[in-house]
Amino acid sequence: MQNLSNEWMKLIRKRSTIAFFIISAFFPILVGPSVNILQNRIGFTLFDGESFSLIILSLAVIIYLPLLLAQAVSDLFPGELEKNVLAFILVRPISRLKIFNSKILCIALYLMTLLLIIYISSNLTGAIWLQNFTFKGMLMGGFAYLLSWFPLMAITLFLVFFVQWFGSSSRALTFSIILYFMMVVLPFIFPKVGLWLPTYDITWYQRWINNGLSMVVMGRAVYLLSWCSLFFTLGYYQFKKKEY
Amino acid sequence: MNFKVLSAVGISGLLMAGGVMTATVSASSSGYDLFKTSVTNMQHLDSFTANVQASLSDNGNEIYQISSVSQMDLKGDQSRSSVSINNGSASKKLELYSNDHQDIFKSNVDEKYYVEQDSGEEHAEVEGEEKEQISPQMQKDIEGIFDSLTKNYQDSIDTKKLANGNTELQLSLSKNEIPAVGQASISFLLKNMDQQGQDLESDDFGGALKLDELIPELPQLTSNIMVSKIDLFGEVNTDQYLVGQKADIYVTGKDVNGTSHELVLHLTNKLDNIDSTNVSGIDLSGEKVVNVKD
Repeated sequence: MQNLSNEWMKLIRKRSTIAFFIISAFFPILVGPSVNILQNRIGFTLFDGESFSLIILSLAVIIYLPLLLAQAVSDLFPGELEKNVLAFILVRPISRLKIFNSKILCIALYLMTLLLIIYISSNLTGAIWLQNFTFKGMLMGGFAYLLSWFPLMAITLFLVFFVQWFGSSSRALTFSIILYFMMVVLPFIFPKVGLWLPTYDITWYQRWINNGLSMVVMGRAVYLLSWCSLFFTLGYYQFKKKEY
Repeated sequence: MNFKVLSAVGISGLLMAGGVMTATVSASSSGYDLFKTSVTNMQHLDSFTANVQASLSDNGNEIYQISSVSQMDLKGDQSRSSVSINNGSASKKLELYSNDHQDIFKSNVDEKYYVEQDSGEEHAEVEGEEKEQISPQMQKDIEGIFDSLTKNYQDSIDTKKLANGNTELQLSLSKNEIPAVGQASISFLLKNMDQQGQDLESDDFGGALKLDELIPELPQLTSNIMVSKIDLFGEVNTDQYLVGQKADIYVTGKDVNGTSHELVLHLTNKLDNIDSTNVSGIDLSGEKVVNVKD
């Protein structure tokens, strides 16, 4: 893939990215023992080894990961515009579609890596600190982590479309965060509108665990994929027509 | 905008609509909508008779049992219920009657009727306020919040037609499907059930209720307390009233000695004589009456 390694290096060498990787790895490891101590004191088992990775995932997909994605998106689009880096890439003999592709793919890989790091460290924590760690729970967790990639990617592409209107990464980041929280709150106020937002599906792995493959889940999957293709197209259109 | 972009947008838009529609239609064909309608309908009930049964068993032995028949007249603000409680070692039968100006209580321990007078006006005022509070707008808001909170469970409700024309709704949740909040609150309740019982000895009816005698003798769970399974059933009749409810809650845990226990809480509630229940009053003439003050 042309330009992908270029984009990936730019992202991965950032100090903030490295810091986020480390935080993602340490968060479950630090939470595990404290949860264990607390549980022994009060006697309930809210988190056992089997479900610990799912609990961590539910925290990550709602608050933590969308923020990191918003940060990555605003760095890769308006951030590069701001620093005049984008012009250098655009003069290379690669089509704009390929450049756009490589950026999106780069964010997709970044998200995958984050999910993988959280998955591994939460499973390690579950195995070491908590009771009832099972292979079944590990498989189920892995499946849930994979599934969570889809709604998060849908949100990312949505943000990619919007942030290209901004000329500075900090403004784009602020806007993305506000936009995301609006999308989270809106379904509570207007349930009908909520159905049309990808945030509705942000914990959809729970649905898969509860029901397996059902018509509802299939419908939501079609919705998420078409949302991705819609905002990929719109985002690309923005990227192409823009003059740098 | 060129043709390619437009067509891509159009096709994705259509697919998106198709996806949402499929999901919504299949979700509403599950029992969730029926459940919601039936619960909303319950607000308009005037009177009913409720048969409530609750039992708690520990590793298969029943340790606590409550059964009650209550006649409720919400419009006339009257109710009468007879309750029997059995905690394994002691059992008690209670008779309660209440209307807008007095509460009457009798237990099978003695022949006395305990009567507590209410200042009726104050009572009526509170009722009025309550009714005013649930406006259609507020109901819609509550529904919206409820919908969002239960979105992952809505299509898990199975429906079944029963022989009598009613519809049975069923929701089964295994350990990993129960949200952490539910886990926490149920475990907390069970762990503190014995302490909760102590609160009941409040001086209602001059202490004559003596509910503290009837605290369930629960095994003292101290560690690994966990809700392992919840089964919920509902029965909706042809007028779309929720006439039956059943819940089985399974909790496992270990006591101080490390013995593991499985507690099963089993609740059923059946409503009948909807809007045709007449609450029969208690005739106090010739009976021993004890007047109790607040």
